[in-house]
Amino acid sequence: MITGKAVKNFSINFSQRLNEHAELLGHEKALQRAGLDTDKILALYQTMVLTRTFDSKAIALQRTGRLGTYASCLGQEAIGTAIGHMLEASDVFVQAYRETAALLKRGVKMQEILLYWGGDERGSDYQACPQDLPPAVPIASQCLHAVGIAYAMQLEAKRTGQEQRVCLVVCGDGATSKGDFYEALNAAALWQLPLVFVICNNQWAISLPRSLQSHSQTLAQKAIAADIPAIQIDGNDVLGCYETVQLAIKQARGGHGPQLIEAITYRLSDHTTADDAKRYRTEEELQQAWEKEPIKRLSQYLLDSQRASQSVLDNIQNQCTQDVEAAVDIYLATEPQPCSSMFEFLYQDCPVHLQEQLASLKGENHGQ
Amino acid sequence: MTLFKLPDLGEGLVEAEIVEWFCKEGDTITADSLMVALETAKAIVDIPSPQTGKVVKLFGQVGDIIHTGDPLLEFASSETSTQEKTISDKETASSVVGVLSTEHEAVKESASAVSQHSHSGIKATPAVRALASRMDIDLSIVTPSGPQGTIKTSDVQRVAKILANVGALQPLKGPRRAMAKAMEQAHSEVVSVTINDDADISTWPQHSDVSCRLIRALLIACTAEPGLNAWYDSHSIGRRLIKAVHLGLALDTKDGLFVPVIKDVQDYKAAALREKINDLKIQVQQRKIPAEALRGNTITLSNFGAIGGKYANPIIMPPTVAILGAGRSFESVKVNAGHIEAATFLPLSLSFDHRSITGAEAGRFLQSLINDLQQAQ
Repeated sequence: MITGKAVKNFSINFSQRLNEHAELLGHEKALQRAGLDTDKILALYQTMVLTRTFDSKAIALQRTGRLGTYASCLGQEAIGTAIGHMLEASDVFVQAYRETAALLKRGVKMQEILLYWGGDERGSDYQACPQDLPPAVPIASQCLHAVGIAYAMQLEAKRTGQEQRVCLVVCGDGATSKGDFYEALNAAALWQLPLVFVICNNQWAISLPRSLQSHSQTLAQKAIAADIPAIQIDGNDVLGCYETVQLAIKQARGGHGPQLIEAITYRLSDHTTADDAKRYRTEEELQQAWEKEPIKRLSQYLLDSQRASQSVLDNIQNQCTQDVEAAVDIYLATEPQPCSSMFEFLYQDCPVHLQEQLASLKGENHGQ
Repeated sequence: MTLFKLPDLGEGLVEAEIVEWFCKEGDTITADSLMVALETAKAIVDIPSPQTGKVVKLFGQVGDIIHTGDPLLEFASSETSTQEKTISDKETASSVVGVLSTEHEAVKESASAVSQHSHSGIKATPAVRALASRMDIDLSIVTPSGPQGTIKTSDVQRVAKILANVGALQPLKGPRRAMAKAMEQAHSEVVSVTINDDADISTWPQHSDVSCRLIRALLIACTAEPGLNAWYDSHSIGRRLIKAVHLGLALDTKDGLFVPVIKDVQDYKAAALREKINDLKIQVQQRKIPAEALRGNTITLSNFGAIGGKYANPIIMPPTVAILGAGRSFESVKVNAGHIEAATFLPLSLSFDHRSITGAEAGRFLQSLINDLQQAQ
């Protein structure tokens, strides 16, 4: 038998701060070190509640014919919230299509998100964070876009000497089976880019369960092949998510190359409003997942630790409901784009044949 | 009053079945409270109320199918919120994957034959395809010799050489091109059946006008079986029975086939009919026939006997449903009460579209046609 010696060992750590019983693991001081005082924790709670309130309203709008297909983020609010709170305004966030929590914290307006899912591309023109990318429906394609962005950021920092900006990209568990994902890992590590990968492992790629997605025990370990530091975390533990994302962004910003986080969460919703998950997953599994969901867990902790009273939490909920209603009113009152707008974004100088089409369109649509 | 119409609950769903109402007429319900459960082709979905208000009418019972865009529930007018006003405005909100029209009238699409130039299923590298395109070779006629049925460069070159020897492709033009397209359409659309029989015309006086007799017999047969003088609509799956008979008359010219139409052929006396046919023949030969005289036939006659041939399977042109072909008359024997007699027969071929006509109807049509043809006068 040929003998050999280990040239590379690896292990993947699992990290958690607030477990599914709302018990704090480790010392309170760790929270303080991460900047997680009561105000900050309540701010995280507010983002999660706003996200869920918005999410359920968006589904109601779709069910009543006032929104197109919508991808709910029910149950996945914690990891998105942590991302949204940790990125700097100058950083770039690259989403998949279920990152409502992060978007809201980035300053994306709720009416913008509704416009996008309502089929109005003006919703993708985020006023608060114009460099953030719109939803990437083709699976894993955004990982490569993020590599390009991070590459540009690296060049920019070298040229200007300014502080390194960071790009953070989110993909799902299904995306990790795609070539785009592996290519992105390879390039990002090779060039030591300021890029953080977050795998939002919600256990389902439409109807394909995690167990049939990959033989790998963890998805985080896929980063090992590219020699990217990787960690698995409880994605429903917003405090732990916050700490981990914070550290990963710090490492990426400090020139230590790309980082990868696998956040274990659960898609409590259907894949989209055009799906019925009851057809492929059991009620029992869903009930078990509800026991671990992030908002109940954090509210439990806030009450148990006497950081907040029930009335404080109720006020947060009421304010979120009002904010969502106000945004929905703005969305519903938005005039649709005129047909002529389809000509406006293809060319800087509109070619003659398209100008003619535009003229004939305007001629046929008096008053529009 | 505000109507809530059933929206598209998935991506392109056209209908949903009512599973359960969570409100009844007279109830006041609040916005976003559970209103009704519906089952679509994809899922059972709970529909929340789009507004706060009093329900005055439910447009369906449990088990009823509601089409997308049809009313589901009506609210009494109340304090009108911005949201309420815009229910219909946003009705066609499209998803990222597109929007389907909410009309439930069937979308009309014209049937098209599978293209003969379709390259699907053909295995060839882009370079070979480019070569074929440059040499104007249709890859579907090239026999592949590469592994697993791939077409190689040498295959394209071989076919090019063969085609160069037989000469250039002669594109079909004018009436011949129209015929090619019309026949392809007829072949792909119509479910055609042909019945053959002979009419004993032994008792006809000499120099009888075969075309005029055939037209007279057709008119009688159309009265007996009106289903054959009709237009069939394959999109709507329906037919229009037509009272008047507008006869399409297939005429041969050196340029190709023409089918001029004699409108209201039932109104012509025999002499006038002969004159009309002669006129049409001249117009067609001289290519002076107006386009409108080539349209609107309800049934067709092809009397090819003067040219040759006995039986045929005449092709029906949609939307018509029947065509009668008559071949060259022939002498034969018939058995009459145990005795063999010489007789003259006119061979007939009736094609009918089996989508709208039964075999029995076509049989009765042909029989009444023959009964008239077998009259001496």
